[in-house]
Amino acid sequence: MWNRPEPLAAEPKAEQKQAVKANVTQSVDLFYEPPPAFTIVTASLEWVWGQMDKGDAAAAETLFLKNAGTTEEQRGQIAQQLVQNFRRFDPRVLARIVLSLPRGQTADMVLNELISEWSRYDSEEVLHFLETLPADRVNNVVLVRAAFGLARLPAERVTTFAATLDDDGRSYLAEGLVESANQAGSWRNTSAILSKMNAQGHKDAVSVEWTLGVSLSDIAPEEIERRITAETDPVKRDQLLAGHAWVAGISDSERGISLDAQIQSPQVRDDYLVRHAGDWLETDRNATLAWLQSAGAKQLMSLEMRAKLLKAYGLEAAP
Amino acid sequence: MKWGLQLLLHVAAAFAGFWLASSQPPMAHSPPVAAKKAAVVAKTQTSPPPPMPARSLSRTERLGPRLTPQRWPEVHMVIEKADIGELPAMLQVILGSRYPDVRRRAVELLFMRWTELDRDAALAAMKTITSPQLKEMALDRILFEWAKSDATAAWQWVTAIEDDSVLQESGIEELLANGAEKDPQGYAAWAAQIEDPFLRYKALDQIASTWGRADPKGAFAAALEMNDPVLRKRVLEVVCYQEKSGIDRAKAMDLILQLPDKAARIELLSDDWIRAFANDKPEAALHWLVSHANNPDLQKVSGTLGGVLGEKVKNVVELRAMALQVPAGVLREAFSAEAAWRRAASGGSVQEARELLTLCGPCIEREFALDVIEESATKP
Repeated sequence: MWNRPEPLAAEPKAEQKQAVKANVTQSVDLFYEPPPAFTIVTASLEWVWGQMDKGDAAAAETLFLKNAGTTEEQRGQIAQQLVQNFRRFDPRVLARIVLSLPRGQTADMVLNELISEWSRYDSEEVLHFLETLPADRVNNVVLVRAAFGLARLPAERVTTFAATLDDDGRSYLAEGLVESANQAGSWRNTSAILSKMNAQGHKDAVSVEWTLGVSLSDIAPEEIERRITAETDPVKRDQLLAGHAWVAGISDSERGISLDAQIQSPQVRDDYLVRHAGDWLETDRNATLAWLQSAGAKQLMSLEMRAKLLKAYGLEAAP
Repeated sequence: MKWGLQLLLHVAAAFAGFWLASSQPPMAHSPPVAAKKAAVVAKTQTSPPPPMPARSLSRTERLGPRLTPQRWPEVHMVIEKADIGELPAMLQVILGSRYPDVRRRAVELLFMRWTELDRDAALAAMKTITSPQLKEMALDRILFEWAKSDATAAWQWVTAIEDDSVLQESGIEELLANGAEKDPQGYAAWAAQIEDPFLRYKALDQIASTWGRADPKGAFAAALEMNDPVLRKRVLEVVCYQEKSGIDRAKAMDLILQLPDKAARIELLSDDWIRAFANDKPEAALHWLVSHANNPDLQKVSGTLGGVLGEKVKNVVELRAMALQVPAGVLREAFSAEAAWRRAASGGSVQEARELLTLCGPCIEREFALDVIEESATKP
């Protein structure tokens, strides 16, 4: 079972903490009211805001833990609402609330949301939280979302944490770090983390190379093409290329198709070709229909794939 | 002056051994005395955190209990009047606050005050913060104030940071956010030479945002002439959403249609410009599409317009009449298919959506619309 995270480094000094605590205790004693019986989530939240206005800093936790008669579903809804208002609450209180939910889809969803919000506000605290989170709660989504915050921390701190994960965990964390690279932290820091982290890749995790291809395709297409040319590992090269092709094809289907054609993995190549030919049909129908019936398309796409697209126009694909 | 400036910056950067030595960003202000600058930079980089002076317990203690969302206005008043000697203790109290938003806003306010009173001490205190986000927030406030009086020195300080690339990039973004509008083309030329692709993009993105907001018309005109597709796209995206920009959307879209890159013009028109136009002036947006119906690039744009109107126009008879104004063929089919599925997916009548779809012949857009409409029909 989860325990409260270690006190944070930035906690107030003892005498300051005492002053704050005394004030809160006094306020709670003065204004304490038991939470009302549950009717709807918004009414519960209104009660929390009202109590907080009166100085009751523990209102959210009181509501959650002492509101007798609420169903599991209602508790899930309340937790969701509290996390959506993350910035107005103590994250450690929210963490206790979220982790007290019975395991299931709602609990996981709320935990993921908490991690996302917390990562935006304080990477240090998120790392402390992750370090104390039970291993079975540190899943792929948690790691990918936490990466947005962890990308800002010194490389040694993140790699020390990464060393406590298994290969799959490190793969997911690496995926998240690269995904965040154009929004959070710095590429210099992210590269330093990745180089020390030794993420091996996992079949269900998106590879660092694919994610890098996706990120760079939009913001620096020349850079990704240079990297693809320079990459000597055929698997990594194919993944860089696939990420680049995927994004390039969203805005420029013809360009996407020409990149798809170079992908070595047959399944990825076929999936991307169908996707980009479909996108092209929505952008320039006449040109795409002509291409789908051309010798060039016959070389790249199977009869079945072309037939599926042409059928939507009442046309048949020639073998 | 520029050569002198470059020389100064090369010397300073060589001294610091920093990576940006070869190309400094353009400066908004002329540099003051070089030696004084170097001394300031050296001092701020090596100063230990300020010793904790004897603080005024009363004001700091008054601050702690007020650090809640409900008592924010009182926090504002306490920090605004703080003396320099009280600030270190106040920082510790603020960092211990349990509410993330209050903590962030209080740090912002505290460092604004600190910079007013003693910038070097503020810089040293900022470096002691362990949370990266709060440290960035503190630096942002310092730079915001510093750049008002001496942007050159502020840039020098940021580009000389050696031990924290995350903080440095945040500082660069802040300085661009508060200065790029003074010489956007100069800053863009500087940013284009940054080797790190992610930092280059962040810099270009910030320049586009600052420029597009400060001078939408000028930024729009310049963007049409740009060779850098990344900066051009970002500027045109930012400008598109500026209210009261004074830009005539129809004329702007005519100009975008003339961009040399077909994929770029379709993406800009479809993802941003026709969408914003339709939300603002639906009839005018439809008129623009109809008057350009002979242009072969507008299939996707027509679909986007149909989608916006499918959600926006409440009367289905009116919506159908709009669809019929679009010339028959590819454009009308794209328009009516997207109008139909968007209407169904946004909670509109499934029957109305099906009727709209009768305006669309066999095509991939129709197949997709049918799937969405039938899925919507199964929902309660």
